[in-house]
Amino acid sequence: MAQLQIEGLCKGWDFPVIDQMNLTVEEGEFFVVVGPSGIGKTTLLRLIAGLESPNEGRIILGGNDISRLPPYKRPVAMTFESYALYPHLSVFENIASPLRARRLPKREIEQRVMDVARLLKIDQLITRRPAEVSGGQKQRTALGRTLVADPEVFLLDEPISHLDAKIRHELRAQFHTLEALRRVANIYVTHDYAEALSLGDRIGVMGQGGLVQVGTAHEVFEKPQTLFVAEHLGQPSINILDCELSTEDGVLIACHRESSLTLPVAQAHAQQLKRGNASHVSYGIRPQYITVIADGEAVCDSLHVVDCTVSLFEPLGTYAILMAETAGATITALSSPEHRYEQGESIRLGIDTAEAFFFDAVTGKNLVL
Amino acid sequence: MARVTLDNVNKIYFSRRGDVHAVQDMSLNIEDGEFISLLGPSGCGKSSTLRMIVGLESVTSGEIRFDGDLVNELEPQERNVAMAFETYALYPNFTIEENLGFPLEVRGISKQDRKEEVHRIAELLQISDVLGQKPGALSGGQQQRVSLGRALIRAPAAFILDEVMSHLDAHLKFQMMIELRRIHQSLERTMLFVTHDQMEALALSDRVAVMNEGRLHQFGTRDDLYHAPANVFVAGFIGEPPTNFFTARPDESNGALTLLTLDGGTRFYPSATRAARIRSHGADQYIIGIRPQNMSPIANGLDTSITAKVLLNEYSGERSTLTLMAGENRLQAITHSSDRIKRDEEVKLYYHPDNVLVFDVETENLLT
Repeated sequence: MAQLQIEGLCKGWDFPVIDQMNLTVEEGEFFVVVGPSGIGKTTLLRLIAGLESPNEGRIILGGNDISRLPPYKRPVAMTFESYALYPHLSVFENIASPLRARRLPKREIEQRVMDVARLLKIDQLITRRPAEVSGGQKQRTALGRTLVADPEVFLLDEPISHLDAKIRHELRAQFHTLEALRRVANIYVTHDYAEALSLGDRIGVMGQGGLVQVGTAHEVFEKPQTLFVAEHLGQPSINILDCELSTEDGVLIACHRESSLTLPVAQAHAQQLKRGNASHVSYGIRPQYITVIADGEAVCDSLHVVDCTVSLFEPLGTYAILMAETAGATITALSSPEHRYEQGESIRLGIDTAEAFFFDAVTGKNLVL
Repeated sequence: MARVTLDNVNKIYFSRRGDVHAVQDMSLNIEDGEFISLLGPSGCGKSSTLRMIVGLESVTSGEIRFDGDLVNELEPQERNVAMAFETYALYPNFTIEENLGFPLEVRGISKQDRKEEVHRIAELLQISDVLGQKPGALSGGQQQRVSLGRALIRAPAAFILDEVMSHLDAHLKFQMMIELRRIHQSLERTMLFVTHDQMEALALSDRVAVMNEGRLHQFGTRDDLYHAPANVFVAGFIGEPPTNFFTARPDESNGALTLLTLDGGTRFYPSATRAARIRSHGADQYIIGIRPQNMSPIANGLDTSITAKVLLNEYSGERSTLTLMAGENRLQAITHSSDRIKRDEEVKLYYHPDNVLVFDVETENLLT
């Protein structure tokens, strides 16, 4: 009933933020837009909400063109990253405001506001004003005000980015199960790729001018169509080595242009690369596929082993980041925070070359899909 | 350079609608040149603590000292601390170059020196290409870097950074963390970082002060907070996803001491030292804590496990988070994203007995 369609949407002329964008979000779908800051994610939401007008294109909701409707006539509810709460009203009244505007009966308003407040764990502060609650609590109030309305489209702009891990994980689980979201089309904007991958039914990766790739979490992470998508998803970001392909004794190898590091190319990849006549590529390998090999540990065939010197070891929460130098190149690996590595320490890293990506050095297109 | 000491500091906001005791008996000793973080959920009092150190908020009781000198009554500008804010607080009608150079201009530094310093800092923060623009033309992340740059340029005795990375995307955040680390190592200045993001806190600081409801719960290194969390709050707050908790009673029917959850469905084997500690403690109930990353569907040589049913498998690229039910208890575990575990599947989750944390039910403190 309430499928959201975006057709040929344009915003901006000389340097368009959004250039000829097409997108369909189904009813009940949770669509997540992820991209770097300043790329125009919020602008997209503002266009759908009617807070900005497009230069071209149409926004169609449930078959009706809403592009020319004023914001208040669009059945759309939006949360803002900057909260936009009424400072003189209590948390309760802020959440209730969309319902008051529709003149719903008092009892129903109270019921719906309290349900939402309990869900978001702000029912204890319902009488306080925005100035008397913390940043995270303000964000939840803003989220509550969106959830309480009964729209056909939810637009959520970084709704949980300022919250601490514990509440963020609780709310994330709720986004998976909230019934209210399964009846409408949702567009959720975030800069956090892990949040995007775990929440989205589909994910749209936004780059210059619009969506660069749309797909399920597995598709965008494991089969990035471009270098930009591969670099944007993942932390620490994917290792990219500017390489020249050459054949040695009939075997295809990738030679790093800035160092003497060479990497063998897996059979399956080699065939496709040869067919495409590729020579100059960006070789990409995610840090998770580079592992430390302990002394005396057996090495399986698919691992290419290199001797390295540790240049940085940073233990984070559940994992650690290990940067190491080998043959003049720096590579980043994911490791366990439980084992410490000192700067200058010699280690052996195993690179799982079967998991490598090859992008065209000029166009950035994935050559092995 | 400064050693910052807080001694029994309290902050009470008096109001007609009920006083708020925002900071309670806070004592903290920050060594000269140390990088520490104040970490806690929103509303825990970390911003109030910080504002008292800077001098933006009066101290209700207690003492704040810089290098042993009492600063309670000093004005912010007399304290020689620089602060970067979550809300950028940039001058909208000045260019980025002017915004960055302003703290130097106020101190009467020559135009040429100012320019050099501004360009050095801009280079460091990767904002050289926007120096001629005004804040309104910049994205949130860029504005935040300008705000940070303006604090760094003053070269004060102590830097205070208030949620300065919260608006940066993951990519930039990671770069900035490494940058900040490097800046700290080269400047050797005392840095105090306030954040709700534990990854930032753990990655950046030498020690982390974990606060909740106005109180300091633990002040320690990453390893302290992970392996010996002082209480249930710290264990639940540090770690992503949060630690799993179970209420359980000791059971010695099979000879060895085990902990059986109240629904009787799940049995945990604590380490020998903890088992001995439980015996000497002698309570009839305990809270068990075990971290999601310490429970794995892959045995890896372990033989202690629990059985649970999968509710949700959240894929997030490098890893997946499983949400499961073990009897009546909900828990989470982290797996490799290549393990395609389906909903409603029964899995065995293996753990090492050393990773079973045991807390007192009443005080919620760790049994050490």
